[in-house]
Amino acid sequence: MSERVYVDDADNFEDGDRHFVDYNGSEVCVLYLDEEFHAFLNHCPHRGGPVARGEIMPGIDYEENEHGEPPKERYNDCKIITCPWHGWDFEVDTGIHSGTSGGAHRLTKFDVEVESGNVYIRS
Amino acid sequence: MSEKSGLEQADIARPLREIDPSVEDYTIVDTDVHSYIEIEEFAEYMDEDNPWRRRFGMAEEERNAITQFWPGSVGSRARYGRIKRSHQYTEKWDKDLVLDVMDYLSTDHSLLLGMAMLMYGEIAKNFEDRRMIEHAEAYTELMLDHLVDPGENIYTLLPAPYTQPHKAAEMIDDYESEEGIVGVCLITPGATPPLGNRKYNPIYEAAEDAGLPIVFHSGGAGLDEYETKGFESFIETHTLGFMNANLSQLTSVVMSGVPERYPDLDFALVESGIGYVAALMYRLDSEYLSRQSEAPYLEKLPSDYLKNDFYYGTQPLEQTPNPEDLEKLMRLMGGPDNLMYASDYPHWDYDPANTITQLPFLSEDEKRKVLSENAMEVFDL
Repeated sequence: MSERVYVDDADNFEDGDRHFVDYNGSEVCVLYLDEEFHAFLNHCPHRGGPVARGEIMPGIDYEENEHGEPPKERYNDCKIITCPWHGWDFEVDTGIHSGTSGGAHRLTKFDVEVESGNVYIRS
Repeated sequence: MSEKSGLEQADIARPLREIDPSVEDYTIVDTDVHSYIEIEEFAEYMDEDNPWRRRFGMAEEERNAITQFWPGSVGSRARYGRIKRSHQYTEKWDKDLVLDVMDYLSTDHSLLLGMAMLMYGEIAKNFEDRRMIEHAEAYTELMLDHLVDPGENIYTLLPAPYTQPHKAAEMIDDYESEEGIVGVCLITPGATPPLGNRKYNPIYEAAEDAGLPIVFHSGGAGLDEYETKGFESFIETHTLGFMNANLSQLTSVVMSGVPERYPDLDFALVESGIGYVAALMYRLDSEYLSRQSEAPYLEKLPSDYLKNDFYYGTQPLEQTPNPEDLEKLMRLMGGPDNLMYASDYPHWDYDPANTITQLPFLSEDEKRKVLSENAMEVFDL
């Protein structure tokens, strides 16, 4: 079993908080969003940008319409984090690049364990 | 007059009735008055789940973003704030900053190009030759005075005011012995007629005499500024604009026989990646074999010139699903022997040097060619 690393007390996370920890020499981000923890390497698979410091925005659905006008855009429930270097978008839940259905590009995710009020990550 | 009336130049404004009291005798309907509301204010009237609410709310930031200095084209270069590294410094560079940048990028030699010269196509479109000349002259002197330092491996290119070729030639002659100027830059987007036209001959002749290479630099996203209007997304105009500017000018330059007529000149194309080159090479070859009489200056196949007389800046290097695909693209167009690493720092899509060092299909010798040896030969560094 891989190493488990302590992050912080669970009570120290508010919605939207990002905590950064060292995991065997690499920086990992632990994000608390909509009452869920997500952890991933702060290293964009594109060119190594600090993806974990990017904007987090909802995904967008496009509604076709009958009259030939451009599709209407509406936010959906998906959460997307955008690498601030080149705009690569990743779904927070899955870590998969939102433009690739096959998962060719994805964040390196970590398991998050909450035990006795403490938050841990494990690769 | 109320100080809060908001009327401009309130100190010289007077109500009309004070100028012509007779207007008070009439009921007047004004059918055209322009009120002003800041764009950000409209955001409040959009639904919370409408992405345009945020985009309108950022209008001030977008207006001030120096990325709008280029042909604006459609959409938002920085994806409305999601791409944060869209950097255009807002303070003047000094030599220390150049050295810091080189340290940051782990580069050893830097060829600087000022932002403003990328707009030459826009100026040319409006036939503002004087503006281009004034900038080119002042830019050259400023760069030599302020940033360029061959002792620190900092160089620049002469921004040729190409709409006035004799003036450009005169500048090349004037700066021929300036060690910090290592080439002549021609901006490709918007150059009309295309840069293979005989009117530009004085520039090529002067550069050849001076031993300076010609660098064709692409620019903007503005396919819809110079070519085709109606695209609705930045991804389209950005993808095509840079590529098309160099692709079209390269076609003109090679098919007009410029490399044949000026055989001692080296040429480089910058900021349009490498993928388009092979397609152009072999398409031109096919055409040439059918219509050779329309390219009377050529002594060889177009692909021969494109492979052997032209160098290509690597940025933005294409992404392929497998490295083997990129290798095929690269070798088909004659690379890596004709490639020169280019970052395009600090633009949002710049390529750090490990874009090249991490290519698994290049040998160490090939990497060194791309990273330094080819450029050192072309620019005589």
